[in-house]
Amino acid sequence: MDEFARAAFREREAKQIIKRRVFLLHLSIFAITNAFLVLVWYVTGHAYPWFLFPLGGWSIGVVAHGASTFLISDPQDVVLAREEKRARAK
Amino acid sequence: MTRVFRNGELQEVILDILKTDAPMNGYAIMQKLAIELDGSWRPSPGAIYPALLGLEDAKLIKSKDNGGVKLYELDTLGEVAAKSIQRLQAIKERTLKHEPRKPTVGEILIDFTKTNPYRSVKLDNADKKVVESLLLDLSESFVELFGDNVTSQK
Repeated sequence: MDEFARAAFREREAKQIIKRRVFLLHLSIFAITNAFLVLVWYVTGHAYPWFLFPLGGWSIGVVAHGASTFLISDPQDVVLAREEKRARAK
Repeated sequence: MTRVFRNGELQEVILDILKTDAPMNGYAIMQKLAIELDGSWRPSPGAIYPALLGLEDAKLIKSKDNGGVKLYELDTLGEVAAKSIQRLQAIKERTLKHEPRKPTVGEILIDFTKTNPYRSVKLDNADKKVVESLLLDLSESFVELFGDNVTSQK
């Protein structure tokens, strides 16, 4: 594997790290905001659990974001992963 | 930001480049693309290398090791395919049809001030007069250069 190939793999790794960090940031904001909403619900009489609506709706977004981060790969990443396997097999 | 390359176009452009400039290594292909597209797309190894791998798998290009550096050139199939490709010219016409935005005098002066290594030097009265005199000369040069072409401040 030459320097150009190694640079391509480093770039791919960097992109994946950024993707994961962006997802973790999203997850953190989701958790903090919804914890705050639950707290507001609790101190305002904790009757009808209205916090479930934003929690439920936003969860769909978080799950979709997680899927695109960890399950769905760019076609370029698929090609590079295959090449990495080939290089390791040699 | 609009995409410069549609699906499959990058590979066609690489074939177009290797038609005339082979053999080339990955960095040379990157540089050639950056020059031809005049900065409208900054290629990176992460974009070019998978395209090269795809072309190699399809037996359109072949690579040879040259002292630890891979050089790429068209394979037999690639030579046939490349004959009918003029993709690079088509991309250039598409991406370069908009004239690049012209910077203003103000923007050039702001950049000069931001990057000037002496910008934080404190001046005594004598030095202050020298700097003001230099700026006045510059201002007079602008008058000579641009005449009455003065726009009102926005």
